[in-house]
Amino acid sequence: MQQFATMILDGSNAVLVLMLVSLGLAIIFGLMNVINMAHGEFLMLGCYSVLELRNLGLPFFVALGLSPLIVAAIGLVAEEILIRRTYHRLIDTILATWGLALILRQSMVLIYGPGSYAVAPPEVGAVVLFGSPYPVYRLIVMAVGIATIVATFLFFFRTRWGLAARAVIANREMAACLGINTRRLDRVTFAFGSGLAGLAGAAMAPMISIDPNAGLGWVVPAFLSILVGGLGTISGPLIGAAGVGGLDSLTAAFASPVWAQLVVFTAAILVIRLFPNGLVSRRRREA
Amino acid sequence: MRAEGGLRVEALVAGYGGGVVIDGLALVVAAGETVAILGRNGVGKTTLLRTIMGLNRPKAGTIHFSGERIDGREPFEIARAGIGYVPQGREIFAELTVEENLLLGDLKAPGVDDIYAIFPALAEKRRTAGGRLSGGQQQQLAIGRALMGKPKLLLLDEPSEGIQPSIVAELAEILASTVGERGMGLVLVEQNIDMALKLATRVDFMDQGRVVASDTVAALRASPRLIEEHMAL
Repeated sequence: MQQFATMILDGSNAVLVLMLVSLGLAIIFGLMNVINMAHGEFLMLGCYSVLELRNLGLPFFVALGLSPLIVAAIGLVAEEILIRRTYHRLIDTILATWGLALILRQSMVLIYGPGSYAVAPPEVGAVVLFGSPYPVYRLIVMAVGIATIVATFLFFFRTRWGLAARAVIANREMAACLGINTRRLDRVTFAFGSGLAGLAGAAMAPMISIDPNAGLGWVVPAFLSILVGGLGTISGPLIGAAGVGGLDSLTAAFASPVWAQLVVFTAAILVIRLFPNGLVSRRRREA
Repeated sequence: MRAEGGLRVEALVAGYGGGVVIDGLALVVAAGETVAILGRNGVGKTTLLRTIMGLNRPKAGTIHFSGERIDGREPFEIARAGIGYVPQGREIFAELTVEENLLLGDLKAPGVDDIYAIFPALAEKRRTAGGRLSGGQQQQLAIGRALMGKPKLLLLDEPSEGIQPSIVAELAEILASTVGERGMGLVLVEQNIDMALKLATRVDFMDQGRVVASDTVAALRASPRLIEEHMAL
């Protein structure tokens, strides 16, 4: 029972981080029609950002707070010099962002070397939950994840900016004809999506080994989450991430990571076969 | 140069891919003037509006609005310059509520009561998703959304399409009074001649991508020969 509770908590942790990653990926795709193959690399940059800021002597939680902003700024630069030149050409976005991913990974190799680093977790101790001790830091990560997801929802559904963003997702051309500055929205969106990945990376930094390939393992589950959950909604990727992340961590805990991969992919294929538009499918816009 | 709100299109060439749909078109709409553009299917009426709106890049020619050149600008800049656009098929945001659809016309607006005053039917449906409205209500919503931006010139693409004749007459009535009150210009593309004659003071006839004839509505009412000539299949 105690072991099971820890498993559930660890699983929730993984799910929430995957939700952040998938949400960023889905928002960028939904608004900009850009398939961002470099999304995992923005997560990786979040890890290195925490590492660097810790080396500069900043407290851990300051580093955690600043890292998403730093990664968002890098995203803004990438959007300006690369991504915006690929708009309206979906296949080119894959190629261009894949190239960006390579550049980002190799830049980290050049700066930090190919080896791995570790960031010490903040000393916040452990609490006894369901009869066994559980690291407080992991609980903080969950809280940050939930708060960020809730804030994202409030932004999209309670602000005028969010309304404009939803209009662009639904019908970009018409939104532009109403005077909505789609160019500025693109910039903000890409920076925001990158920042979400950066936050996920920064939060994970003390729990994983930091190397230039740190982001690779997240991209496939994130894409699977979006495909399973459905495109064109904000809630789809979250539900997809809950399914993919939950199934993955539970199977890995009960059986093995290899089985987890097998189970997740089989389940994903079944869902996509049965619900081609995803679990949260959006009615197509009437022509 | 033209007064605030005047439109001047000169030697416009536009189309899709390699094809030319608009071929050397000239059109002048003075500030506050209401012009209907009539012509058979496929003569380029919708393409003309899309090109003015910046959704289509012209291949040649110029478009000036309020004395400033707008061809080559982004659609959102053209909208902000004061051109409202109601496209063919209405393009309502089907999943957003009526109120949200209207707010998108002006994101800084404190409210949408002005539009509810013009179209009371929309007020009753303020929380309903746009996609669940009837065709006539969707058309009201699309027009209301464009009016939210307080345009100096309104581009209307076939507002009567797919709407019951009794509602078309009502819509024409409301539009005529609103356009008159606000003193805004209007470029109306229509197949419905009654609506065109009700709303416009001048009719331009298009054929093969250019304006080939023009007359005042008063003259056309007296002798409808031009209409028959250009609208007959």
